[in-house]
Amino acid sequence: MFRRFWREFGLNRGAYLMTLFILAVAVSVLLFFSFFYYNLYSFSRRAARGLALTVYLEPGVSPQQRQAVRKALASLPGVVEIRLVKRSQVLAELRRIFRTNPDVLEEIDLSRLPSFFEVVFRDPLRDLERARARVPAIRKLPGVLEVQYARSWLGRIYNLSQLVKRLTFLSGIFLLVSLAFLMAVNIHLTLEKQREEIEVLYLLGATPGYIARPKVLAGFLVGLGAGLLACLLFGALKTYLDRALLGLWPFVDFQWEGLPWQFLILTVGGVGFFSALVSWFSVRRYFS
Amino acid sequence: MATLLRLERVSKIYPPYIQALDRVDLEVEKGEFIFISGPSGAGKTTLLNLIFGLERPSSGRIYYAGREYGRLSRTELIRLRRKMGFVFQDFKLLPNKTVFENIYLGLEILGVSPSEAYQRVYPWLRRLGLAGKEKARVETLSGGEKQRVAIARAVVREPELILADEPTGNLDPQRTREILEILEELNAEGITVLVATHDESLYRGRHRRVLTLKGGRLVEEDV
Repeated sequence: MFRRFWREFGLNRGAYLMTLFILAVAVSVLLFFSFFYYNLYSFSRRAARGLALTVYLEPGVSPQQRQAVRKALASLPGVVEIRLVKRSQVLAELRRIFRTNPDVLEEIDLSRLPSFFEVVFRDPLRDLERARARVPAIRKLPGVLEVQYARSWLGRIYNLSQLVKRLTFLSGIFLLVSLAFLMAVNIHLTLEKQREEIEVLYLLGATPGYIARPKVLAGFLVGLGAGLLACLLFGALKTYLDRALLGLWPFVDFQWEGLPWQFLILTVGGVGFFSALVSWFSVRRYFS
Repeated sequence: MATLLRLERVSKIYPPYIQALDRVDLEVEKGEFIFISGPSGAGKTTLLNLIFGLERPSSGRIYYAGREYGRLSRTELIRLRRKMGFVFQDFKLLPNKTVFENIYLGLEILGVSPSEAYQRVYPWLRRLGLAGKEKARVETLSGGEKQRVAIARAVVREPELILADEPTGNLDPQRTREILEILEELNAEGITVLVATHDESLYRGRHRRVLTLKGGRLVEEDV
């Protein structure tokens, strides 16, 4: 089997190497988008940790109105907890903060202090973004004074990460399509080149499976090689980015994170497996 | 003796309507040596191709060791071919490969390693007068030598049945005699042999079963 594979590879070295390099570039594109998305996503998640939706209530809010607001908040997606912070609790907290300077509080009309609901989400960044559309309706509820939520740069980063996510998905599709096309063309070329030999093999009792095996193995190894080469290219790119962007944002604690090794293994193995699959179908199609 | 091959009312029609074979009945016992004669275009090659499973009959049934071709899948039919050796009229050799590589192709399919193949191939090369030519590229050989390489490739696999389509067509009388002797030796070892030829002198005086194709029908001749 391996002897036949080496002969196959030796006969069609140029075609297989060219396929390997082009595939490596395609896999690199996928890894680059995945890397960009992964970093944006994990950064925004880190930054958004602890974010909550705050709904301030009118000082004279009735229990029924408060109950209606709580019900509306409970219906938001991803809510894990709704905490009611009463005026007395706000006051206690203010007294704790200004315990060394109580005069400050004497100048404030404490009867006007609002109580508020603090809504905690499972995935603050995603769920707050999803809740945003419902905020105007909550704001109009009787008894609601104001609603505050993260809507600034974090929201924009989240939206950008969603765009990159789509681009990553598209680059994945591009990779699969280009891989299928390249491998199919390559296998077809090798089959055409060996047409005479294949005809003789067929006459001597070689089944399509027998003829396909070294090509499928070659396809698998080319896919695997392309995946590994792409990982090396990606590693080089990440090293470059780490050095080039070091200290670019002095006020933001940002470090590029490498892609998880499970993802890299899955990508390399997946490309190898898919290449082998395309090779197999190409040989079958040739014989049918 | 047990029946190795049986054809029942086998016809082959090529489009639009060229009747190559017409309701051919044939029963071949294990260990038989049969000549199939007839002029060019009589359907000899078609008959061998049908037996070898390269073509499907338009009607009728073919059995090999009790297995009917129509009931076999494509892969099973190809695997069945491994039990047969076919000496093609146009050799079907790979010109840019060496003599050994060409012969080894048939063995490699059977899973024979190159080292074992050397041991099996070399006696045949000597027997067929090809000793010393194993590394020669086939394209550099004469027609007769190519013919012998094709025979070596067929017999080295130790098949149950050898189908030879005009196996001496490119050979001089001396080599023709030698090839026939080799085929008869193989037959004496128990291998069934079917030789298609248009050359009557090949079977005259050999006291073998001769079947002649006339108008697509197979007729037993008393030679």
